[in-house]
Amino acid sequence: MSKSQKSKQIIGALLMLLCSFLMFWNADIGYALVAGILSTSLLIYALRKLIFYFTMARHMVGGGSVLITGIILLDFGVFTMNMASLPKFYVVLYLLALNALSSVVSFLRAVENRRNGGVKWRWDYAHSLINLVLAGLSVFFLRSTTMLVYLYSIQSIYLAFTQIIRTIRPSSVQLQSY
Amino acid sequence: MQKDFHYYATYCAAFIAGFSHDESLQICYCAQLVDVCSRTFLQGIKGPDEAATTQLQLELMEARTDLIGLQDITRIWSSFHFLPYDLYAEKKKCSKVYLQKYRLICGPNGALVSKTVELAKDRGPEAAGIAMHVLADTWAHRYFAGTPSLVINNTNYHFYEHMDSGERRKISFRHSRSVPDDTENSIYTNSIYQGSENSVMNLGHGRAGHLPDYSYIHYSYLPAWANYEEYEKDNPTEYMKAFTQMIHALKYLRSDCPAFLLDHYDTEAIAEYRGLIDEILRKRQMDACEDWKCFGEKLSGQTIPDFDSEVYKKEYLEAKEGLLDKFIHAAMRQKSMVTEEIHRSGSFLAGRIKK
Repeated sequence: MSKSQKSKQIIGALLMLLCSFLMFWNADIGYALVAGILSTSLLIYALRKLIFYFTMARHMVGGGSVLITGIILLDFGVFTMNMASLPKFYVVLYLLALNALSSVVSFLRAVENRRNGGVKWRWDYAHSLINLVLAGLSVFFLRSTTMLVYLYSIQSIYLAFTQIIRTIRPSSVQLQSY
Repeated sequence: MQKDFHYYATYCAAFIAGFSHDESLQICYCAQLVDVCSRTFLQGIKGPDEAATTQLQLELMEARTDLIGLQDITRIWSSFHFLPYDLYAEKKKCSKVYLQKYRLICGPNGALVSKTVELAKDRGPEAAGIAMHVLADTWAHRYFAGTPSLVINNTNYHFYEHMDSGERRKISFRHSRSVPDDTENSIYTNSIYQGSENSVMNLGHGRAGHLPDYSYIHYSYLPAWANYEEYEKDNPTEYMKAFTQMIHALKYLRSDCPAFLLDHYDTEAIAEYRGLIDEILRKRQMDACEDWKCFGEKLSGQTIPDFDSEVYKKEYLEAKEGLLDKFIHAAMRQKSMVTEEIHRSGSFLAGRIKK
């Protein structure tokens, strides 16, 4: 990663930590902030994907996937924005489900990484399993909104620390000669 | 292309073109030096950063991918390794940015190849070596661009090798650099997919791994820009054309022929060696250095030393003269020429060179 990319990753992780501690302190403010940041990020990312598709990727073999990704993310972003009017219980459950989904994607990526002879597949497996366990625990505490908020906060803190560790650890060179 | 072609094959081409053993060594040394002369190398000899003709992997990892960083990357790679084929190519119904990247696609026998060879005329073996490296790479690296671009340089699972038996075998890619390419089972390493348009993972032919640089391989794939049209890359045939075109260019640089013509190949010069050269090119191996070296030593009757990047450093450090000094000046001329041509075509992707 370049220095600017590392800075962005660390700032993102610190923001995640701030939101998590805020959720512990005051769940109402915390979860609204998280939902707001998440929906804004999703919308911006989706718009960037769509602009990229219409200006560049529509000419690319396989470029349709960029359009589909953009549309799905746009839907998620708008949906997340509208969740502010729903009871806290549903918002937190939705956030936990999103994390669970990203854990499944990480798991599949770890499987592919291992199949392709990658070196960090064990780390990816462990990371996705921990996330899935945390998301799974939410099923047991479904009746308690406070516990769901705490579970989500713990998950976010864990994700923030793993992001910081990934950013600062030396990475193996993956480029090819040209 | 790799050292086997840039160093040893260029020596052979230079000798066949009529250069002496020593001149051929200087030419092929400079041709290979293009793949070595990074900023790190130049800092080691207290040379100018502007003369960099390549970037190390670690330099690329740290490179900025904002406009300034991208222009720097594009200047180096388009000038020396992915010479654009047609800076005025047309493509309908596309954005300006896409068109600028599309126009950087590398290919042989473009107008810039002619300019590259002309630029080396009467400028010594150092300039000739650089020109031969650039010319050879236009054949190996065709269909890819010397700028980070997902939409131009990406590849997908559709990769097939044409075997001698007539079989069309699926090529598999993996992302493990520690494991060598498995040529027997058509399993090769490539760079990881990165969805970001300007990621350095999408520079050049990284997404196709080393395939373009293996002389033996004949394959088909779907270039990202080709609208699902399958393109065939017959490396043995194309490398033969590269070799014979190099001979023609070197004869022109020696003033043995009046003009350098595009799409002209000096096949007469290699008539008695054609079978041997073809055998080297088609031999299923990742590195053909030994075979080319044997051929070159057989041609000249003299020993070709292994490439050593340290040889001329002391001379340059002490007096800022000699082969490295002339190489640096030739590299800066080449980079200036290509950058100006790209800028003149209306593209901002390579920036401008300060006069």
